[in-house]
Amino acid sequence: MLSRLKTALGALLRKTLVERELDEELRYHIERQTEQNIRSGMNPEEARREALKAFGGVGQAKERSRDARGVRWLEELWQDLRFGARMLLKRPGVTFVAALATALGICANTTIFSVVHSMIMRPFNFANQERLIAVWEGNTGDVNARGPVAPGNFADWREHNGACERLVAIEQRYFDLSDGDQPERFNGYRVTEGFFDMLGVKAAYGRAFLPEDSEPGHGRVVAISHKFWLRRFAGDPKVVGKALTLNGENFTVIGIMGPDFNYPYRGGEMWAPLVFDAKAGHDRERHFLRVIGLLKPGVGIKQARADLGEIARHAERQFPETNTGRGVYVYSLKEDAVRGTAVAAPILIGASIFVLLISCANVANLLLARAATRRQEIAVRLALGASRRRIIRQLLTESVLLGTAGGALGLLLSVWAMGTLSHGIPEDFAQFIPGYERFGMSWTVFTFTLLTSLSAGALFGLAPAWHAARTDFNDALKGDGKGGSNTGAGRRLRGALVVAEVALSLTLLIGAGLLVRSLAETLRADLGVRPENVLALQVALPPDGYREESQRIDFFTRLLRDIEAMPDVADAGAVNIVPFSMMGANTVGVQIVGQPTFPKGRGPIVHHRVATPGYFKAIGTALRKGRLFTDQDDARAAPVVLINEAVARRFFAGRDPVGERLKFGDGKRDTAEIIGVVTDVKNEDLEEQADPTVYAPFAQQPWRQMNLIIHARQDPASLASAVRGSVRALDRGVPVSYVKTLRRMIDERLSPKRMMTLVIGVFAAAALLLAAVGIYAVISYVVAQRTREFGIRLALGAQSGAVLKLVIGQGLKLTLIGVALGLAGAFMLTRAMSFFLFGVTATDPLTFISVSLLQAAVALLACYLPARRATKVDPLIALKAE
Amino acid sequence: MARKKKTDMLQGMLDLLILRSLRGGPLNGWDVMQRIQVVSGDVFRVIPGSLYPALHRLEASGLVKAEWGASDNNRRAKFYKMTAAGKKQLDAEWETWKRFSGAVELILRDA
Repeated sequence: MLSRLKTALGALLRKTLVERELDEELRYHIERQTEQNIRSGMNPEEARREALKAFGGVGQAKERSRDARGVRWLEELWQDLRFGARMLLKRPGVTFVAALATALGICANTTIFSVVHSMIMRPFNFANQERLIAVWEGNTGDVNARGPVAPGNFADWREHNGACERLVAIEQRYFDLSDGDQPERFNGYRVTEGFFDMLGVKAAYGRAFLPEDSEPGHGRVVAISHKFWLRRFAGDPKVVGKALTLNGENFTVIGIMGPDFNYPYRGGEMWAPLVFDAKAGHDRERHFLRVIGLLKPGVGIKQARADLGEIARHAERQFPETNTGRGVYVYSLKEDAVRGTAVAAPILIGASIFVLLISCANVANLLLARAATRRQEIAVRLALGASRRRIIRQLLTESVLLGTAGGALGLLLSVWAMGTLSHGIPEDFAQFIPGYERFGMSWTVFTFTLLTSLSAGALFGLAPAWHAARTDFNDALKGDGKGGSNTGAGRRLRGALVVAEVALSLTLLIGAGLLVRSLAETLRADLGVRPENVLALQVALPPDGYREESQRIDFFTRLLRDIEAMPDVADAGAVNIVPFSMMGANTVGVQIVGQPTFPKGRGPIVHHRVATPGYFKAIGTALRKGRLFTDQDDARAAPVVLINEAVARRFFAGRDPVGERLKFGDGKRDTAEIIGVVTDVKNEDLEEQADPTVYAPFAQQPWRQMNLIIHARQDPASLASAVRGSVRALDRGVPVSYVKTLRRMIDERLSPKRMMTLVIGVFAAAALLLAAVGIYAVISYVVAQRTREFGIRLALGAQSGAVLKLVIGQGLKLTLIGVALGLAGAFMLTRAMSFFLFGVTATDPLTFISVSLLQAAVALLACYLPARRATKVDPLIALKAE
Repeated sequence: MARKKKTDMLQGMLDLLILRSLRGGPLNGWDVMQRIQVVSGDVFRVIPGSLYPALHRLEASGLVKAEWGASDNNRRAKFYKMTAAGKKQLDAEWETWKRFSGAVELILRDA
């Protein structure tokens, strides 16, 4: 009694399960009956009709009533899911391959989406970020100028504009921190009032700035970055309120910023209020500010552009000396922040979608082949009265389930890939990439992955499901389980999928090939320096001392003498700005004596470097003509300069520049004689032509802040502490910072390019593999279908070579169509990559040809393996198999 | 009306025949039907409409146990297996049947 009750209760609870099991049981019965009827000589249609008649029409009624109960879709979904899962588990091999292919596609998309999401779509998370803008200066007529702003112009904008609620100026600033020991130098900013408020950023500990912090005479305060706080103060919250000696003055730490606050992405560690005195506030000559603003609600960028442009035109009339030709450029803050990374986005997204499409085509092919073996099952369901829609839904549920499984696997792969990627970019470089610190898995990324997996499942399931449901069940029940999708439509569909796979894969491969060649060119290119065993250290004389130029010259001369005396040092020198260091640039206008003059402010601009005589040998920049600086080119001697080849080309085409004279645009110095030409050093991107550069001797233009360049006999890193010691021995108050080898700086500059090449390369490799598997699967299927035919051919005396040719020919045809389409696609699409290419054109014939050959070779191999099987068919077995 | 009577009369016997056919080992519904039909020399034709309700009734009363498994042609099918209770029931019913049929036989022959 009790067990009966339990069974009844269980049945009640598992009603759907019981019902579905009953269905299956009955269906099995009808199938067996049909088979028996056929064996006893009925034709299949009659056999099925009789089987159903014997059953009393129950099944048909049942299927019909199930469709009629529309509200029970959830129950049906559950049935479909369970049934789908069972069907998938029944062929674990096929399922695993399909899930793995999906996972590759999903992994590519998830990873790229998380990159794009964190670094391009939402690089930062500020309050009101849709209203934030960046404002730059530039020559009117430039398309996308982003020049720094002069304080006087900033003051105009702030006072007169009607579009912005707020405008804030930011000045990059070095802070020398001294707390008893040798000072250390940190990058930071001074910001005008309202900076943190405008961004809606609060301090993690302590507070952000208040308006009174910017009042003159108020005590000096500083907010520090989370990273600096952890490193320097081991994360002690009691640091708030502590005094710091920065640049020789006392500052109070008032706040510690949150870990994700790094605006404006220039590796800053501290923020202090910026207040202009009356004179500095009206300066329109020195351009060094970065300006950001908050638009009034309802005001658009265009309006702000017009509004600020009007002010600039007014200033042009009012201050023709300084402002003629100066315009205002307004961008959304987001656009401004991501301009360096956004160019890569379409390529990465495109490539990842290609991988996904290839994997979908692959899985669709697998499912098509499998659908053929399931024709009878489907035919029976149709015979039992299931509607085609119901069948399609069942098959789609199955493929979406497969997509989800692949997606889960892809998500795991992608967590791993993200970890690899985030370690692929050195931290010193990453801090320049907005949003980098927030890169990784998030709910948004997860949602994206889920949606992609579901759509992928639907996408690769659609064709097979539709195809299967079109099955004519009379044929299917009659047939031997292998006719069906070998009909014209099925074969064409599978062929088209393979062609698409090959085409997409080839396009990706060509893109990757171009990037690899470009990276190789970059690595091979002559940088104009010798990166091995060179160490750079920044030494900055404190602002309150060394007022006399002779003191500075004396300090660095003695320091370099000490360093050169070290046994491990081969050569040593100093320069104001190290190539590839991302320290920025110092530019100056020049005028060649004897050449036509330009109006003020419109003359040619060149990069300006100040170097000691030993610098060129230490960094490995060779002399082309004339002579290098010597110790005799000092303050008392006549002014001299060295130029690089870019300057020689630009101003002295074909003539010998040595002995010519030039004048610096600021007009404060005497004309200088050009004494020699040195080789070009590549610009910061390592790609473009070198910037025209003029070098002046340190002894004639003694900067306070110089970078020691030390060429060591072996690993230079070990020299750092000895050099620090030498600096300390000369003056305890001089900070040493930015200690880094030249090789490391170059690697940092190369890292985005390497990453891009790596990512696209991995995508292309995955695509090639998937396409090969796709071809293999299709040819294998064809061979299996035609086993009997091949057996007969061989039995009748066909040479195995002929059979081989027959099969490979079929694969080759598909491959060649795919290659042709892929070449056309690549020809159109790789142009978009020109920006990333160096030393190779977007339609490089060598890459196009060699990659096509690779693709074709892999495809041929994928055909050959199953084709060989076709030649090994034993005619007897093949015939018996029927 | 007549049909219902017939079903009622046959129900006990159908249960007995099913249990008997399961004595040799687990079978699925189709096989049970075939066996009864073949062994009886086509005298008994069990229709699915009564076979499956009977099987499920037997399952519900714990005389048989059902399990999903693979049929000889590797399709998924539900197999029925006689339980210990089923075995006892079969023996008991068989005894009853023997007595009953023996009695009927006697009457038909001698009466």
